[in-house]
Amino acid sequence: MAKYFVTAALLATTTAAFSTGASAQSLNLYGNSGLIDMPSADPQPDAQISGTIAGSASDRKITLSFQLTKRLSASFRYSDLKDWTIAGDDNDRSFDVQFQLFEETDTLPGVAIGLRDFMGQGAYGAEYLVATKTVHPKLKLTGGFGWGRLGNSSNIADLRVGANAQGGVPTVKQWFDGPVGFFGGAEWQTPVKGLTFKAEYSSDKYAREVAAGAIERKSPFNFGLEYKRRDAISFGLYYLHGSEVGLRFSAAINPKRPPTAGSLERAPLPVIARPINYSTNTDWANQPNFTTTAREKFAAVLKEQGLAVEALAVNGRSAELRIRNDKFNASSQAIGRAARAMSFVLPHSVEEFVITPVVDGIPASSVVIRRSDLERLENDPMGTEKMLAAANIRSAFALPEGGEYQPGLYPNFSWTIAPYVSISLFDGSGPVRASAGLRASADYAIAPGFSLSGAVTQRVFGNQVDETPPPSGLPRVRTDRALYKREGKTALERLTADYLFKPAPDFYGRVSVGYLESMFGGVSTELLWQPANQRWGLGVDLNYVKQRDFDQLLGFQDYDTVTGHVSAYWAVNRGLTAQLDVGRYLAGDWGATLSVDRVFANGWRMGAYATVTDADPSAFGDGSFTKGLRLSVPLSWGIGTPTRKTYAIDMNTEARDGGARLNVEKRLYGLVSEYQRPGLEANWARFWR
Amino acid sequence: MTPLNKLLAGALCLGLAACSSEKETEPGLGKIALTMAQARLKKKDVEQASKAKPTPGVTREQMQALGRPVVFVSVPRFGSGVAAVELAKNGPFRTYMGADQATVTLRSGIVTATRGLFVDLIAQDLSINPDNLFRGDFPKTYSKTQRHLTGESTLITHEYACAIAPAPETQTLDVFGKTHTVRQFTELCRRKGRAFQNDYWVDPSSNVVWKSNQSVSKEVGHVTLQRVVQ
Repeated sequence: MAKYFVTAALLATTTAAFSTGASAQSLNLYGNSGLIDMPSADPQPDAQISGTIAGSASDRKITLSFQLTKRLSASFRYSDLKDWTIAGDDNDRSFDVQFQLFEETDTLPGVAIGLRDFMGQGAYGAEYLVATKTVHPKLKLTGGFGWGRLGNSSNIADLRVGANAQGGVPTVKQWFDGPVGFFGGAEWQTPVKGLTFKAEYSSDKYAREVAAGAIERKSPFNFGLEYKRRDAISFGLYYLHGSEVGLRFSAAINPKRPPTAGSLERAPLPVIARPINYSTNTDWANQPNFTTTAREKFAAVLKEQGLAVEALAVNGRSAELRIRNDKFNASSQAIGRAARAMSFVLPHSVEEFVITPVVDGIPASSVVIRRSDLERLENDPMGTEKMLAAANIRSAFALPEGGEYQPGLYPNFSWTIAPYVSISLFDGSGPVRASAGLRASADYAIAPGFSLSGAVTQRVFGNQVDETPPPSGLPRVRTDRALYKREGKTALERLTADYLFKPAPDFYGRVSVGYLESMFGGVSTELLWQPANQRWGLGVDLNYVKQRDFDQLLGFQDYDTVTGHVSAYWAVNRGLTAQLDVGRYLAGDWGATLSVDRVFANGWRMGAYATVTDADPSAFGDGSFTKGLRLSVPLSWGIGTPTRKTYAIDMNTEARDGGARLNVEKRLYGLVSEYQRPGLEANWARFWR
Repeated sequence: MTPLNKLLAGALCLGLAACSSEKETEPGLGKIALTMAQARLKKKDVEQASKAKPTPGVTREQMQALGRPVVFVSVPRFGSGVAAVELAKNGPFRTYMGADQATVTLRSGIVTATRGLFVDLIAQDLSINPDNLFRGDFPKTYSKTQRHLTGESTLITHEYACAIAPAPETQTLDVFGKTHTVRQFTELCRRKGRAFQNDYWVDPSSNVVWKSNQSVSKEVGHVTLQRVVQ
């Protein structure tokens, strides 16, 4: 229990430290919009992520809630059940969704429909239809109808149970079935700033808890006082069931509201506009060493801007500048700065600027800009939109004749030693597990596209080693992760030789050999077809891998397999991407993974994924199939200075052996997509920054 | 409130209330500006420039020695002040860069963009020709749009209803040891939720803006610009 609270406190303080939530609706003990125990129809602010710890006599709940869109929210929950059980367990994981059907108007209430614990073992299983209306600036009323646990029934048979013993499958047939209960309540903002009083009539009779003797329910009425600070942090103290006290702490973070309002970075060069009667003479192009001289100028100018020159090709009317962006999280910002540098360096007759970002030695796209557009739109109030409309984004071709690569770029050796934190959330045996230590990484770029890279980790402390490996009817390709953590205190995390290449303008290729990830080594190959101006692409990867020893040094275990997928990528719009992978997974099971990510212009990504394979659910174990939420958080969002470092967090409710993919580095779509049209459009607002 | 500001606010009230043609061409603008000016008289809900720190250790002679046009740029909220040198011309726009690696772009002395100032003015536009802002009949009403980057890194555009009027009398202004005869123009801009006041000290004959306090964003507040070398 002590560990439980330590990890819960870690989660809470981490969220609170970065809490930037927008003005939020109040939360209930389930960590969702609501009164005390009952839900409300208010959505949280768009993109809000809330973390809630709530405790009462019958359970302790930790919930992460995501407002995925303006109307749709989803929540993950880990619960520690006190003096009662569900399917024989004293802990439970649950998943909720709520959708706002109607927004509140001046005269009509907002209405939402929700599913609580709709694919678990049913500890909290309920469905509801709820309406909320602000009747006075300080008074809000909520009322609704509930089924399942909210059906106001004392009969345990009316409560939801999971579709199978492992849970993880939607319990569709039980939804909105059985007795219906009414619930309702009020929320009043007291004259004390930040202090709210709540009262509710609950339609949850706590049948299981009462039957087990965990609580005594004397009254359907609950009361509470809540205090909110800076819109992002709130505390609640409640009197529940006429017999007990409940507590809640919530903190929120919102990708749209960074901790720092602006960004600390030097200004770009302004456009150096040509005079009206500029010379169109191109004799300069015949000068020997002109390209070399210009390339050296670019190297100096771009270095100040945080960019590096990979190559330059110039003729009388057109120039292609190949750059490497190791600084800006927004790809368009790198393009915009390179374009202005070209106006600074190149002779007046050069009208066409071709900017080609290079990633790991391969050109990701070419952005073609007319110099006269750059001059014309620099100070246009709508210059951002007009520049995007005027720019031509195409797949990169071979460097034009006469082009020169920047000498001294290869071979290049780089290394870093930095602390790392590995976090598993809701992994099946605890709400939060973490390990921390040092990671030494090195990269030796031998030639464009060809590199050796690796990482060694030294774990210093953490509780990931304590996880009990769950039962599995499949080859144990992932469920032995605690053994890897335990025996791999000093580990060779990764050591690979990678070759990235571009067989044709619209194609990208990769071959990786070595210790590909912490649990598998072998050979990984990949081919991607993705025209730069297109919103969708196709890829295929094929890998032969062997399972590594638990100590993560040089040895292998006996298990080997061939795994691979055909993948389709689709940038639905500027803020949404989808990916479908169909193929064979590490445990030899065949199936498909669908993932959908919301992409923010500042680099945040918030997504959900689900994998269904032919693995038998009973062999899979708890959860029945793989699904989860994932976040990618750019460091620049938190510190306000440009950096490309991002942190990825994967919340996989049931990380099991079925539907497990190889975690190979340098997957091609992830490398190049930010420089292709959808990726550039997503953050184009920073072109002129 | 200084006597000048009281006079200006009063003038704006009277001028705008009588300005019926403004209402026809830009419905409601005169009323908005009137409300704004009245609010200015009642309470201090309009963002104004703080006083810039005393001039740091740079002299007119040193700035002249740079051999290019120079504007001394102060950001009172940051306590900073640097000599910014004209780095680029693009049509009527001039971009100045200081040693702090920030730039400010001006058109006829009016800020149109900043870069490197934390929360930048990505673009600013007036509904009237900025070259004529300090010419013609007053008080003058118009709209001003400002574009900024949000925390999400998307662009947000705010439109302000603005009014500008000159002080009745000219005055003497000292800019780095050189005196200029100027007329002070006060500009009040408001949208729902925000209002700010800009001030310009303008040569009445040449329309050169020798000094100004101009708001670039809510977070940065005003920049104070002093034209030192033309």
